[in-house]
Amino acid sequence: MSEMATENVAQRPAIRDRDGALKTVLSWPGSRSLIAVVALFAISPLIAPGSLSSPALLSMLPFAALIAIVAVGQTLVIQQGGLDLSIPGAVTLGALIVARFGGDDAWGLQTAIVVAIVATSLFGLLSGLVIAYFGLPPLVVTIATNALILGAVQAISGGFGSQTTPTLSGFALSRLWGIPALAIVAIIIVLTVHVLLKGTRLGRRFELVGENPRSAANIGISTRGYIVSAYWLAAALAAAGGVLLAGLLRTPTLTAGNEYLLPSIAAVVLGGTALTGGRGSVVGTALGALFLAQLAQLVQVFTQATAVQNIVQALIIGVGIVAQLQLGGNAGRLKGLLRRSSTTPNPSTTNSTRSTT
Amino acid sequence: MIMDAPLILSGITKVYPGVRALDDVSVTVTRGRVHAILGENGAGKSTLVGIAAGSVVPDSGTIGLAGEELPRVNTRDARERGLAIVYQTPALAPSLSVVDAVLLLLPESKRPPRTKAVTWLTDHFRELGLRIDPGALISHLSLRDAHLVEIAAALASDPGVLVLDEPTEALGPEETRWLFERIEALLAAGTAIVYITHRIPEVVEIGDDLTVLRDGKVVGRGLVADYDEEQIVELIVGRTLETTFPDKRIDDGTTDAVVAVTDLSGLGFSSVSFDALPGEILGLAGVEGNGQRDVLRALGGHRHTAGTVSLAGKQVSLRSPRSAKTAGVVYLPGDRLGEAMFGTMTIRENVVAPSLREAMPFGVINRAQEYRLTRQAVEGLAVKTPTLEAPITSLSGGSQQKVLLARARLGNPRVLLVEDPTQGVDAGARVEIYAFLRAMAAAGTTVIVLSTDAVELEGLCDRVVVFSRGRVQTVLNGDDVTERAITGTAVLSTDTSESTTITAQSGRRRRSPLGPGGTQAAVLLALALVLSLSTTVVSSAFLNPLSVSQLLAATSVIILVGLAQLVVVMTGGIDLSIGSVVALATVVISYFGQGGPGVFALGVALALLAGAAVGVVNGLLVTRLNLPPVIATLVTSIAVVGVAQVLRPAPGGSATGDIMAAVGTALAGVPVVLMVAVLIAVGLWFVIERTTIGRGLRAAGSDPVKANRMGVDVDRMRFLAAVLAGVLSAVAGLLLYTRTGIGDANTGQALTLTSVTAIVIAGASIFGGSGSAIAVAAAGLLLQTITSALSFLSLGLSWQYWLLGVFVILAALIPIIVAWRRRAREAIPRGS
Repeated sequence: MSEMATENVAQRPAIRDRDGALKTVLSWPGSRSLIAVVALFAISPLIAPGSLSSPALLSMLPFAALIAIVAVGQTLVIQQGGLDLSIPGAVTLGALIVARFGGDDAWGLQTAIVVAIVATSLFGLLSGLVIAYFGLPPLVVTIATNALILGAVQAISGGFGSQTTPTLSGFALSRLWGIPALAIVAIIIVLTVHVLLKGTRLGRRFELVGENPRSAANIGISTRGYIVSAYWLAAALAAAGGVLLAGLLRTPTLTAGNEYLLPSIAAVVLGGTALTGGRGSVVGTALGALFLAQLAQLVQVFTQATAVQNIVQALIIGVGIVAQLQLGGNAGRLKGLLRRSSTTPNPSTTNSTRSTT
Repeated sequence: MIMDAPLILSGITKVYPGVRALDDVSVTVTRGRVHAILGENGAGKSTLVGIAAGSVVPDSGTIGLAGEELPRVNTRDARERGLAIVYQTPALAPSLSVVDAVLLLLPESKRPPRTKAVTWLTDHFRELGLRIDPGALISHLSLRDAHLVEIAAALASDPGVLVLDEPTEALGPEETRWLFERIEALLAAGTAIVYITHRIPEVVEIGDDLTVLRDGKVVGRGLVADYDEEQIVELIVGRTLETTFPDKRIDDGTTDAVVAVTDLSGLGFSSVSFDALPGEILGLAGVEGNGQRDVLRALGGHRHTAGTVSLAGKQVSLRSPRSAKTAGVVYLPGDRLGEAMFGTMTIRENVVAPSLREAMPFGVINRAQEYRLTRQAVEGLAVKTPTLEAPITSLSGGSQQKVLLARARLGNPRVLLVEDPTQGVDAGARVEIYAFLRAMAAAGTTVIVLSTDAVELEGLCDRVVVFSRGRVQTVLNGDDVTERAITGTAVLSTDTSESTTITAQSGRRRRSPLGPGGTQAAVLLALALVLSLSTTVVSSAFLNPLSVSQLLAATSVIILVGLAQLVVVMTGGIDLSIGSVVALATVVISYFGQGGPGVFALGVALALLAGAAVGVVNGLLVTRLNLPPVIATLVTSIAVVGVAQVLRPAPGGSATGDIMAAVGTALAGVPVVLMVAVLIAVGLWFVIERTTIGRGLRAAGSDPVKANRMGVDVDRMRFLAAVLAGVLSAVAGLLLYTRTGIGDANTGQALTLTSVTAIVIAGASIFGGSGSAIAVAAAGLLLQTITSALSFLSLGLSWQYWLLGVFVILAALIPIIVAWRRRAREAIPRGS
């Protein structure tokens, strides 16, 4: 009998290392978001003439950059199967500290930036430790952490916003080779994280732990460090985003961060990172951020009312998330759409039976 | 004819990704006879009965139940048509009480009213000779007792067809005898029995007809009487045992053990000693739940243990999987998808995962090296895949297991622990896997195999350690390693001295005497009282009637948002749109506060409708489009605030004095709005604790898969919870309006946080499945007392945020730490 098995091996075509280049590129999670971004930019001039003009782009890019920076942190947390709801607090606290203490009469800009990022990141560290060591649901923990951060915001601000130094706002509005400085900062951050995740042993282990922490623990990886670092970095990146936001807004309000929670999650989902954790694409996330910023720009053409903009954006983001989740995640779904509609297993029963058959 | 065949399955086919679980299978079950369904692990037996019971949907074929042919049934239909099922692992949602679970499992016509249920169930248990407390929580039952509860529920439903899936796995010999007597009685009453088992002697004893499945196909059927045991085994395995299994190790007289386990004790087992010789495959066996699985996991570094384990004479530490790996012990769990594979990742990534040091010697990626290692690992194993970049879940069960074995080989382990090596693996791949394990043993790795399949252990293992009640019952050697000896020893164990260790837990931990959540509510109320009194000491104005009345009125809002969050969290979700719905409701009602009572009532109705509408949207997004609840409600939250802002760009719409006076009335110092809130809380408590819908809500959140098997429509429950949350949030908005008298779109956002805080400190499980509406009401009072006290103590807004945050984390941590401590206590072996 075992002879027959070896015969089978000989007859079967050899296993190749990987698919062809085109198929490989198409299978990248970021590819779909790239297509979405290209499509959006292509139809932009049709909807709103001038929306691709250089002043329009230059005013849009800094906001795309801010979403991208914050969303990179959210990507890391989502890769670990979590979700960071303390983003609003972290962005606000980062912005507040640098605005309040960044002046030359206070701590000076550099110290204030370092304190803003490091101090805020400690809250992320707290979330991560509680989640990794006690197994509490990330949603509940980060909601609580957000409350702790907002308490700090109230205590530091006394209820009033502060104005940033001209140096910071100057930097935030400056350009290098015609490209907004914030966009360059975002690109550097995105590429750094991308290389660390995809090109190093550390990054591979990070993705393994996110994909299945129990499997990772079973093969001898200490999982907690990776989980903690995800929340810690997410808070640090959100604070960094807050610092730059303070520069952009000059006088950041005490609710400045609220507008970054949904976009941070939406950018990750649109970028093709699965909410179930594991493999992630920060480049995809950055493209998702670009998509959201351009979308906001387009919506603004039609209505000046913030409320209406919020509604329209929420609707479009909702549609985008549904589309990405329904189509993305597994290539099988996409293939299934092309092939004849085969019977799909009922999702609620697939899991239940696999373990018992 | 139809009357004689209460269950007819015809042409059933079911395909899972990578595996054809059932292929055109037909089975006819006859009244008054036991129909045995046989086959190896993964042959498709459980899928087949799952289809009959409605928990699995077939791709094609029909199910004939009670004389009617259907393309598919759901769990509830199947039950109403007289089919009762006892699953291999009891399908009982853990957060329910025994009586709740039994009520959910009964068909409508057999269900006693809730008020009489406990007495009824006590009587029923007594008739059956069972000693199980109807008030105990399922999660606190032993596996054996949970099985007995499920069997008792099936018997109470007076079924036309009773399906028993490996019923004796968790039962001892006495209970098995007991079960067989019940089966005799049912047969006499004309019930048809479908009996699934590994144990051939049981089939010979009670079976009338048999159907044998292999790799999803029917390979044999007929009368049990026409076969002897050897022939049945051959039908199941598909060939004689000699050709399926590789030759065993030749005894060379070595007695120097490579692995020596001495006096190992831990949770579920005590004083376990055995050893393994070089080149040997050692089997672990026993009735399910007798400690063998725990011992295997302990060797893999998963349990706190006392005792020693030595490798080649040197004692090693197995504190964690990491230290086990360092010692050269590799553990391959039976739950491949949950504990071994990295599902969406590729074959390459799965294979090199434990060997990243070799794959990336300088810490940076080297694709060529990864491909080289992967090819080296899978060499000689027929993994069916076009490329090494295919996700591992796209492979068949057999190929998945081969990839995992390849991964284990790459690490050159000294000891390989394999749990259920051929679970969900087709017959062809089995042969290869057995050969592979034998080859690894021959090459010097000690292989320890745990399997529920005694035939497999007989064919593969050189020696088998049989467990009973957490101890080593016997070690079978050489020619004694037979299927009959393995199951016989396990079942015939008369060692009952340790029985208390396994079952002592059942029924001990009851729900609170004050009713579910009662203790929690009492503690929270006491805390609120203490806090009020101590605040009064500092600031005497705190307890004056006006301030108390304001405090109580404000409490009503928190109670309502807490209740809204509770129903959603109970079903395993979360609702971040609560604050926005509150704002929307205040805005809507603010357009109707200037007219008479009739106009105001219309406004109330519209506000509630708006809340329900948001709930419907949330519910559809979660159940139809499968959006994660957090994202769905975040999106709607922002859209809803937008709508509220469009309706009222600036706060406004003051109510007339008449209306404010009417809604602001108090009876005996207690504001009417608080009474409304408390009434709603009590009503909700009743619904959750005492009705079928409430049991469904709790079961759905506790364990969706098991709830589905119990006949609960999980999606319907989630949808219902979302709508209910929307309505309750709208009520909260109305109550808020009666206090402020103004419509404000920007109010209420903080209430989402408050709602989460309220349910967490009320002791509701944040993982879903349980929670008391009355405790939430008490939590609301405590939270509002804190808020009010803070302002009397001149502490600012920041303190309010900090206290809420700290409360949430601490309250969520306490149950987890308590559970840890309990487990740590239980892990210490008794009497040592």
